[in-house]
Amino acid sequence: MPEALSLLCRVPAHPESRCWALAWSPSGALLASCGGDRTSPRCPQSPQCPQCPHVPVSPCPGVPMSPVSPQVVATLEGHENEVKSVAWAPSGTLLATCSRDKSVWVWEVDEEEEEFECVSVLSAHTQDVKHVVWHPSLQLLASASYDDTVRLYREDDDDWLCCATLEGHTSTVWAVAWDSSGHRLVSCSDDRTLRVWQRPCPLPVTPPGVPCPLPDPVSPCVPSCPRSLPDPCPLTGAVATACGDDAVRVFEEVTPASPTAPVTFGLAAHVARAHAQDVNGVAWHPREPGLLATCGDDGDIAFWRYQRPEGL
Amino acid sequence: MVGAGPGAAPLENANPLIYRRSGERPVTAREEDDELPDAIDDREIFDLIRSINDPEHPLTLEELNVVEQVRVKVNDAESTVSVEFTPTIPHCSMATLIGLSIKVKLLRSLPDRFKLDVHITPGTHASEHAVNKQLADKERVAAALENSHLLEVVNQCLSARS
Repeated sequence: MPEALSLLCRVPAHPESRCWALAWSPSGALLASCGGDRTSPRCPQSPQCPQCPHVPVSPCPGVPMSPVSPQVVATLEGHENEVKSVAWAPSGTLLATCSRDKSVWVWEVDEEEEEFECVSVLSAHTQDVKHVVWHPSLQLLASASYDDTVRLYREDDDDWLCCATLEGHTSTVWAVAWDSSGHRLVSCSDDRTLRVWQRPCPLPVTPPGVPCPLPDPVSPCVPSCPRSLPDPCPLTGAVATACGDDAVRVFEEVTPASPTAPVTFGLAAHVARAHAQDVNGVAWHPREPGLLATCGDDGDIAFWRYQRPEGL
Repeated sequence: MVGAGPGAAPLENANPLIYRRSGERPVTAREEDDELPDAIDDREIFDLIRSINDPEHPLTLEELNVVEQVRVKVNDAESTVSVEFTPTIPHCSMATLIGLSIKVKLLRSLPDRFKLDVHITPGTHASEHAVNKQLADKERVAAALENSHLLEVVNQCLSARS
């Protein structure tokens, strides 16, 4: 099975520290990472991967390969503890943040004025909020929390409200991710499972901002490990996980035996020692199918090529 | 809250049972031989944590029987360490701090390859699940250690007594 995922190269992006998370730019030309090293003398350097020269790596968040370093245009204040996650809505007009202070904040973005106005503080979770992510096409926000739940939020008149709570995980939900259609949501948890949540209706025809009721039917749980992070590939639908056991795994939907058979996912690739320590982040390339970047406590960023094994 | 002396808040467990310290580890002939690798074993981990100071009493975790060698499990080949600790009373508010001190001591002492599992001996604390969940959350542990006040308290627990 290991040949389903093969290492392309490894970049020591955050030496002597750890790398918490990764994100590709929409074109796939840039990869941003953030680490525990707050000093940034390394920022201007951008190590180039010898085997995939089209993948420049920026070792510091917000410092891409442009000749001019971006400047801070706004600082968003309000959270009482460290901010865990931030996400742009696909429209670009909204931003969401979450924190250990248990709240999720939705911000309205005025790009021309470079102004960010808080439009809602959502306190649905009872514990730290670990991750926020927007639906790929609707103004629908999902958050994952230490309180073992996933919550969904939508706009209602001028405010935002929690419109669904997804319960089932038995420990911290580390992260959530939508598939490219927005039809399914996958969550990963300290309870060592992933859960795939599916809407009961076909793709919603309701206007943006009004999600269909509750994406309830829970399809199978597949084994995973603590602090894993799921990321479904926008191009292939394969779900990659970053895991606290140093491993990277890829799960795929198993071709159903009959149209009425329940949806199941299977393990398609497993690299046991993908990093020297915990793996913290995974990110599929947005344009090139099967190109995966991973990062971990060892401070490295690794690039992998994934090919779906036959007969899955 | 910590280092409570006379005149400070009353201790939660004012009169704890005190246990005898174990002796020094006997050194075997094999261990004297520098040519042979020594695996990390239960006793080595126990020796790292037994002298950690209790946050409340001028005693070590070993003297209070909070840590015991039989509750330390090491698998050197698989790079796993599991430590169970037993708060002296079921409502001990210091349980998280004690667990954090054990975790930090091991994080600082062991090679990076080790996966640490520090948890409360099952059935010995009222908030066992909540404490274990906190100790297992590496983001929370990282955030706790960025809190300079808390880090100072942990360092006091880990400092050698004069």
